[in-house]
Amino acid sequence: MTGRLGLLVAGSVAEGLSARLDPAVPIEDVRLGKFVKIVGQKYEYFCLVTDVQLDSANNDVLRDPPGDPNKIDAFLRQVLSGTTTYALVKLKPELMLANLAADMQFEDADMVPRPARTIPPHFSNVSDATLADFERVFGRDDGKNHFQIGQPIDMDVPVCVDLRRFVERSNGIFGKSGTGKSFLTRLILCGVIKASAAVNLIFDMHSEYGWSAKNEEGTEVKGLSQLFGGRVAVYTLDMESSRGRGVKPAGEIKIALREISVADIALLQDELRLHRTAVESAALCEDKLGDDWVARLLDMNGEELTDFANLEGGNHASLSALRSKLRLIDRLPFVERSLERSTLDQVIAQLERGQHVVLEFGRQRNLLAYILATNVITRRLHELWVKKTERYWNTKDEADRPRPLMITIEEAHKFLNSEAARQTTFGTIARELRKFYVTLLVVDQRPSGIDAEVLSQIGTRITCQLNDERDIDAIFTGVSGGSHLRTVLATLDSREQALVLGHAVPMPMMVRTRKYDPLFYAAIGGDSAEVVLARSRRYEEIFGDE
Amino acid sequence: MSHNGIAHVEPGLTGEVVEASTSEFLAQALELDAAPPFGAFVEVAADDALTVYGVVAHVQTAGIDPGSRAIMRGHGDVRDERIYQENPDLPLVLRTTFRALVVGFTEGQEIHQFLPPRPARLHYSVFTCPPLTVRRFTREGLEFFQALLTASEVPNDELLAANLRYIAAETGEGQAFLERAGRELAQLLRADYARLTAILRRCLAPGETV
Repeated sequence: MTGRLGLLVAGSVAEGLSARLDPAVPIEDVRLGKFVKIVGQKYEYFCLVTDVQLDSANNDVLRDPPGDPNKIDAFLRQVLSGTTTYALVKLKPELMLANLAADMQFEDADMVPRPARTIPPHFSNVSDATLADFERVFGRDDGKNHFQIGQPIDMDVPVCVDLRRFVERSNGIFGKSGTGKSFLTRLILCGVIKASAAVNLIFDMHSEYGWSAKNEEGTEVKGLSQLFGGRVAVYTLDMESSRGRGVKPAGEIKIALREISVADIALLQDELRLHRTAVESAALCEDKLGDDWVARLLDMNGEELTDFANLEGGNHASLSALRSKLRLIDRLPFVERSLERSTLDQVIAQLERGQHVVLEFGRQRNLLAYILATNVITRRLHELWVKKTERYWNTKDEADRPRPLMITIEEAHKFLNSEAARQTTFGTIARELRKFYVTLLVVDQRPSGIDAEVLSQIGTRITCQLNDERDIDAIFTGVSGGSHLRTVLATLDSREQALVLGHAVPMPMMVRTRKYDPLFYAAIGGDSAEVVLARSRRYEEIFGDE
Repeated sequence: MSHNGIAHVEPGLTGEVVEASTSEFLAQALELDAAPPFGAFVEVAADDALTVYGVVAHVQTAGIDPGSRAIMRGHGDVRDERIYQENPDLPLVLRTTFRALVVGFTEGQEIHQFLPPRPARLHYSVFTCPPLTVRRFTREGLEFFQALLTASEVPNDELLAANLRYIAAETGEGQAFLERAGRELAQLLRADYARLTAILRRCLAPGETV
């Protein structure tokens, strides 16, 4: 049998299985996280290698090892390896599927991968999984429901995520900085856009998703707007920076002061170093001064402020502190006293039409700007989508069903830490799941900073290398069998490797992430790399490349 | 006529069965001191397609008459080979016998590595197995090691080591065979590491290349 690795010799459902490695299989070829198959009598089991051990049938060997460099000991070592001394592979059975070779009737439920609830008998064959096995478990990249995210560490076969399931819940992409989170995010977004699984709004803090960006080697890589043309619109908060990089944004986003609410201020508590009473004062102002409360508070002189405090029972010191902090917001370049038409409406309309939006922050990449803008926009969108959903519930008309909306945010722990998660729209979205057709794609390097309740609702986790114990713990919040996966996660390379687990994959899988290169552009565009290049040249001819 | 009285005609012919049982047979060598080597494969064919295979486990030269023991014949300068020249009757009163442990048999085409249904027939010819037969027999399996390891009244470990060296040389498989045999032996002697290494060390001369 080709690809045979060994023989199952011991194990339990709870503790995992032990297989004895065949003498012919080099132990160093079996790595943590490897995907293997065990063929039982009724079912095939798909397992991950969680540990590799050296063992011996006789402890005398270990007490008196043939360690001399001479020929005899070398011969002895050769003879003993695989017989008296051998390798044990620890396996965690993840899934079971009907063994089609078995001569029996299966129920339909047995034909799809299910969590392994039993184990194969003694001496079952343990073998490498084949391409067909991968396709049976992870599906095939068909450009619609399944999207290839990478390959297993030691094989060249596609590993796919189920996009329909992916967009059903909020998802997370985690990893230390420099491990390729942005590339993974771009990859996933490409898949979602290509398959039209959801409409995307991307808060692009570092301006790397919309138009081209440089990878770590300094090569230019394409942005979403270059790959998908008119289906992705780039908006910017900093027109000058965008133009400077050769981006042709569809519009510039300005936020009017009246579009800012108390909830937005509450979220900025950290960034503005607000006192605890500030939110109450802000609420009082909004209550008494109406939608224009920020502008009106900012315009008050000392006397007016005192009068207002006295009249409405506010704390003068707190109001005054709030006012000076609000000046920081007022000074943000994209914040305007008033706007004739809300530019946000333009973005929202675009999303409603099913067009994807990348919002670049340009030089406004400080957290104050990022948190404010994302929260203002997301709050509006969330309200709108809730309304849409309620209408759909009433009419039950398929035409009214809102498009699933996926919002990508970076530095997510700023929005979803245990304090903020309770008060912000992001927390609500993360907890509400797909009920209102809005989900998050959370990109973060410190998952431990995210509220545990939110983390437990994260459907699919794609994790690059993490070192901090707390971050690793956070990844496995609400994941059964996490302890087996910890060792796997700990062995990820710092680049281009990730552990995918959760709702969109039938079982956790360690992957080499797919390369984001001309081949990928061609695959995603459905046309060759040359056509993509020609298209971007044509774009430059029409619009110039200022 | 040879010294032991049998015409030496067929190649490989090495002796005649003089005692036979299920698990071993004793043969008298055609010529004095001309027994097959310790650890060699020998075969005895019966008329009915049954061929019994044995491994030479013990070789002995002594007086033909069990009651009479050899006495010293040397004197003065007459020593060693000259004793035989001076006493031409010696080959007639001495004989070389060898004991072979039965390790398997063929019946028809199939090789079996366990004891045959009938022992070898008395007075039938014993042949040294040609290399082809040794190769066929050992390719079939190495279960016969067990018989060599557990036989009584033979130096088992020495016997097995001698047998391994013999097969390695005879089949020309050398190191590859020794490795295969070593693995088989490691399974059999998994509980006795010291014995395993003792046998394996005897298979390989210290300077030998691996």
